Amino acid sequence: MNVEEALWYVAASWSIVFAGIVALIASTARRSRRLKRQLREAREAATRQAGVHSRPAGRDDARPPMRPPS
Amino acid sequence: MDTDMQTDTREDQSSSRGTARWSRLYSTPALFVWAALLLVTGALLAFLVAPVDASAMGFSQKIFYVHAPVAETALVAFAVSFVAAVLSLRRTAATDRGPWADLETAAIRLGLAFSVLVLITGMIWGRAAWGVWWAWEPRLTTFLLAVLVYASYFVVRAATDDEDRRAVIGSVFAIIAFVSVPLTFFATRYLPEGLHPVVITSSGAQMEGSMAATFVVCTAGMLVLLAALLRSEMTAARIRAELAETRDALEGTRP
Repeated sequence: MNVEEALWYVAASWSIVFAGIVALIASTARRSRRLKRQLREAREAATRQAGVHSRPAGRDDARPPMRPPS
Repeated sequence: MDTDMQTDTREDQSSSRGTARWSRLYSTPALFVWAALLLVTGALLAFLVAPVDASAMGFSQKIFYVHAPVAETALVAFAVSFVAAVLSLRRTAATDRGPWADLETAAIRLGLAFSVLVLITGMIWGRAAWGVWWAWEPRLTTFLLAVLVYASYFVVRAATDDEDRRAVIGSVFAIIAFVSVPLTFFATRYLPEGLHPVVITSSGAQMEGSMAATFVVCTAGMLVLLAALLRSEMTAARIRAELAETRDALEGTRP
């Protein structure tokens, strides 16, 4: 086998592995970010809903519930 | 007495500060940094220090420094899934089973991802060493078999909607699937008609010192990367569980 051919095989192997690793890390990070965002939104919705239920009936001027620190 | 207590508190504080400093070294981002450092060092060693192989493989032998570490990492991931599956089945409560089942699934998912890289680099190696992209020889065949078995893990788990039942079925399958790992590992050692070379034997590594060092650094890098990815997957699983709880609570309070 000539050197040029060997070089192609080696370059292809190393770049495929490193590209695969980068893709794995990127997909893990993206999923983690998406889940964190969804959790934050769900918590905000839960806080809003708890506020609606805890407000006394017939009193629109009741103090809104305190938001948990973000 | 007061002075003793103050001294104790100071010692506690300094020891917790020391522990925190050490734990920062193996936090998830730190593990990614360690993996990157090791892999870059491994690449430098492979191309600048390790000699070109004297055999017919020549320069293309450098595929070995990524192919073999990735293969070992895939097998380690499957071994982690086996241990997690055993520990998951030993828990009786579904809530206790959760984290182990999550680890098992994450390890199999990552093991499969690494296995795909092994198959691709292995085919390139085969083309360079034997002149063919694929040969139905013991190591390649058993490895492909292991990949197919582990890929069907997700199909088996999808067979039921019940969360706890799914975890139990998955764990049983992961334990049975692990049989394919030693089969792959020992295929080249006990089946003589194989083409695949055996580098690590019972009498040590069959390569020169600098080559062995490069291989060790690359393997360490891949293993640390696996640990970092597993930790990230576990964090994601924890957030997913918390999200499901929050959404359930939200549904429950809805009029």
